[in-house]
Amino acid sequence: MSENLTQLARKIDFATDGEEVTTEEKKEEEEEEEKQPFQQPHWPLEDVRNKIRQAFTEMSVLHDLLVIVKQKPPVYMVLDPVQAEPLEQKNYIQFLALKKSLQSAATILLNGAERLRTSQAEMGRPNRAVQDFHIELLRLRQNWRLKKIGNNIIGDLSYRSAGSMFRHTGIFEVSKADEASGPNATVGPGAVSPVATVPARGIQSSLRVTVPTELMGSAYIFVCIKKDEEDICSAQLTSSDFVAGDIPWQQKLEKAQNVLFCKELFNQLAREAVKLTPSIPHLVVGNQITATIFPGIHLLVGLCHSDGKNNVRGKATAGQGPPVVGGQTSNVVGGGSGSGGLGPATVGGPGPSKYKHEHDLEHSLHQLLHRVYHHSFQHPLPHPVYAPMGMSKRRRAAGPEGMDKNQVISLMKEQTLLEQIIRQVQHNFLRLRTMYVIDQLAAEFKDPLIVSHWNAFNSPTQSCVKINIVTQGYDSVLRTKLVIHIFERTLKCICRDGKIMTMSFEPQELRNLILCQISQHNMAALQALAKYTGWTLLSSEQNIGTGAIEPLGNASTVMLASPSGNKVIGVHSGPHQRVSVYVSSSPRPDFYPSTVVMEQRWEHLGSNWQEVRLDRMEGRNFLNKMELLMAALTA
Amino acid sequence: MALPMSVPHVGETIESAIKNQIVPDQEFLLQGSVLDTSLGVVIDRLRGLCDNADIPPETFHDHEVVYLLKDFNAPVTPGPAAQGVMLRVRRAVDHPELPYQLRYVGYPELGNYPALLRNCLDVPVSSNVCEFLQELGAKLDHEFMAKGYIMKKGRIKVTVFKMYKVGAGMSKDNLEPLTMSHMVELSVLTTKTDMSVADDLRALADQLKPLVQLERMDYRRLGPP
Repeated sequence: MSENLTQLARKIDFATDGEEVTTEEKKEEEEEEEKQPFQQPHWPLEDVRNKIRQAFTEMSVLHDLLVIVKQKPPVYMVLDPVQAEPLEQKNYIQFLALKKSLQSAATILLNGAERLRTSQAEMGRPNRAVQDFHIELLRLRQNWRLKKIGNNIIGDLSYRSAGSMFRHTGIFEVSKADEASGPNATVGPGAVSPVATVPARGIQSSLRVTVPTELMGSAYIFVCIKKDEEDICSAQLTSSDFVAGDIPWQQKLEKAQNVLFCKELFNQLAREAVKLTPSIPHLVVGNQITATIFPGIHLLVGLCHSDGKNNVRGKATAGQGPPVVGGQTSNVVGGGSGSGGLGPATVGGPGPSKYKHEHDLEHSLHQLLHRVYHHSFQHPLPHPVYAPMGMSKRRRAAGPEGMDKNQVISLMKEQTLLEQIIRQVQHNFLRLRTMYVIDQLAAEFKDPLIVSHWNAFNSPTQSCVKINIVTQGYDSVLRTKLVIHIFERTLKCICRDGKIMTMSFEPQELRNLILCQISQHNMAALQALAKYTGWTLLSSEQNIGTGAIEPLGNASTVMLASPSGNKVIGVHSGPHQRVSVYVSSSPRPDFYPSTVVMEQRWEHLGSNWQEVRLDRMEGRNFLNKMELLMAALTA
Repeated sequence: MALPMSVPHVGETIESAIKNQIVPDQEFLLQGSVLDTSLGVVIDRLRGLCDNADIPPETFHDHEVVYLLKDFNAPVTPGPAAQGVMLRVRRAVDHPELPYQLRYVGYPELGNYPALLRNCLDVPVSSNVCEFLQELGAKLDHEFMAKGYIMKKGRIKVTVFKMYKVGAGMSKDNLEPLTMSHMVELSVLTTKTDMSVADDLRALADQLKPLVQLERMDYRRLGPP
């Protein structure tokens, strides 16, 4: 303890402030200090005591001195002001300094004037190489949200202000393009550029926008329908305009925003695909989602994203050759023909890609997400104004109307994007397949003709076709009409007689239905024709129980008698059989009285049925042949 | 999105919601007024500030009836207990199909909040609520019509309206205004735990600064009615 105190005390130097100590005193001190190391201190604080004493001596001297000086009248000492030594005037240095500062000020002014002059000159010139930064910034601001943070200008690409909930920040930075840096600066308007000249871009932008690397390039959502490893539609994947190098900022920003949008859309779909639990679960692998829409039919949704460096990430067609990369390289190399976004839809790879990108479905997906945005912003405003915000009108009324739990839950239900797109795809697919079945039948059957009218106005999940079955040349005799409504998984057919049939998505059902309708049309048309020709309808049976069994449906028959009654025509027609015609005449020409039937009058019973070989007959179609047959039999 | 199917008893749900303070029963309010002559300017400014700037602001026409519920026979004593409870019933005249709203507004909270903070409970009710309140013993205190514009900015509800007298012989089109000015109200409902929205409210109010002075109005300073 005491040692520590001694140590500390030794450090005190009372002479540190004594700068005015006379040299003599200093010398004394030094002498003393020199002596001290040789003497062993008698007691620990001796050192300190010596210093204090020294300080005391100095103070006493100073005090005495002051007393003598202050003596009035001054006798021994007078204080005399000290004349400061006059500074030597170094004029030339001052002048030099002045000249230098003036020169620097002048340079600044001259530089400014020069810049003003050049900018003025550029303003006057119509075709300037570089646009004014501020004017461009103003134009940028008209279309994009900008914010100034510190010295940087930050823009916002996200759709958050439009109702998006995506967590990506989506910011971009705006800076002034350096005149001397970057490849674009070297490519002046007059300079001949080897590769990157785009004829449309004569004016060089003075703005440079920097988007995050993950939003570079371009992206789109790839949608296709595929059968189990079998082509349903064969076309190649076209690589859209992939960015190569330098493009105007507006395009660049739009592309980046599109990438952001596609990412959000895919993100949302993937989340829903995982969350939904249908009977056949959806597959989410990497950048693609596979959902089963019908047995054996799959919907494929993929995110195709290519950054500007020739890297295509994302789906492209798995294992089907490199379709997109081919398009990429041609885009970069073939700068002469059409670079940038002007390149033709390039066929990728050696063979055409297996799957066709469904543009309308991609559009529907975009629309669906836009609708989500819209809904998140378009809550009805409360009335009366005390009502809480952000609630639908029905939910507000739930309390006073005393809704039960199920009703409230039904209010909350909302279809996810994936469910909606699957429904649309199902409808789309079913519509195409219906169209295909009808067209096949129309091509297969020329007699009677099948005419289909598709409704041009339809919803994404419902459309309608009207089918007319007529016989050529006899369309005033009879038209068989039916309407088919196509929904997501079912078809509803409304026949002329008011029968409504609901069919599943299997194409065979529709085919059978139309075949039955054709058969019935033939029979009905024959009956109508008989009226015109004066033949009498003896009988008609829609569903005859005899004869060969039809695989589906029933055969029908018609019996007609000639005006004079001596000829009878029998017609038999089934959905899957040809029409067969039989003729019988009475009195029968070959009546011979036998032991059982003796009387002559029995010859009127009618002869055996004889089949008419319709294919050998003249006439364009069935009804025409029948008309000729009737005419021949009447004559 | 479906609600979880195993919904607990309603009472428990409400209790736990109250316990966790997630019921939006706190209202931040800023009020101001503007003369009729400069109403157009304020509306234009608000349209620019609020959401859905592309469509014209929605109008509203509400009828408010205020009931007082207290022990009318008790001797008059100073203090909040004697003042009773005020219950406000509002109906939308222009939307008769929508439910009425019953509102209870508490006293402003003490403390240094950026806006007036008060307890506020809103319940949608059926149209016979007035008879119900009268059966409870509430007495009609006053009533008025409010007519104006409603806008929103995020969670903030912005109303600009004028109050009209209600009386016999006053049809929907022929109303007698109470003042020559419009009231501007910014309000937002929040929970006890989330007070950050008050700053948004203040920011919006500051944007309207030279046109409307939006302030936290303390009714108790206005003196007894």
